[in-house]
Amino acid sequence: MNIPPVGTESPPFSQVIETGAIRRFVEALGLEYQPYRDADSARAAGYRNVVAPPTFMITLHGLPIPGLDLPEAGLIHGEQTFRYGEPVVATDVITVVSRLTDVKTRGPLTFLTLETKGINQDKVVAFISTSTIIAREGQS
Amino acid sequence: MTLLVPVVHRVTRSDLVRYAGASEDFNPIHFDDDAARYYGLDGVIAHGMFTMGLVTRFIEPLLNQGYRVSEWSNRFRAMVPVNRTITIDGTAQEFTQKRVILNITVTLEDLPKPVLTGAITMVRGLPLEDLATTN
Repeated sequence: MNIPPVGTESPPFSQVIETGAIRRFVEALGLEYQPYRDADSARAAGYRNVVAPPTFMITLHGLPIPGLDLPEAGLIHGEQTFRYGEPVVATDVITVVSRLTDVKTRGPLTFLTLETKGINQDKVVAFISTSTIIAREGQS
Repeated sequence: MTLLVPVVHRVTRSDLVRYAGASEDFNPIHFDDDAARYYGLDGVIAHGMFTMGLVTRFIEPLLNQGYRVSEWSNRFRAMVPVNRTITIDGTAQEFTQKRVILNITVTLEDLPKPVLTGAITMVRGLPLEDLATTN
């Protein structure tokens, strides 16, 4: 396990939001809200295209944070917060940057807070995701 | 709040395989019993984000009424093993035409403490919060 200084950021990473990726995510959760599934319903509800459900943002992770090396498995996701701006819809291009914002150690446990910000093709903030991850010393 | 009804769901291995594929989270503790045991678990457990994602079902009646999620935070308090039933429920801390704030609790059968607790703020007809200025 290696942890870089607080404030270390990943390089920006841009990705196109695919309709199929939203559909698979919506189907995996069994969601029925029609704007998640259908462009016409989405437009009728005021969205520009098929809209991504709130927790879809977790799949938009960026490039690795330089120097951050955590065990592959055995990590615990402790807390998760999302704040939302402009909705993320199919065909958007979202650029994400992740940043290590806090590190705390309590006994064998290390609590890392990672913030990922997603900005769309119009330079409008779409979401800010804050995740607290708990790693246990001794795992590799 | 008759609009919202608890969601009861039995978490199956198929759910977790599908969610792994859809989210591209291929941590093996969510589908491979051997890997789960290696990490000291009795067997595979649900992705925390799968459980959180299922909470979206609970708020769909509000989405259908034109509310959208502006902020959602939660704490994962206990693991959800496969082949167990969870119940998603919530109470409104605020419920107006423009804003709803829900306190969410997800419980697992036979476990007294919740596996997930959180708060969801939903808005309707309000301008988007400018996240660029809040951070």
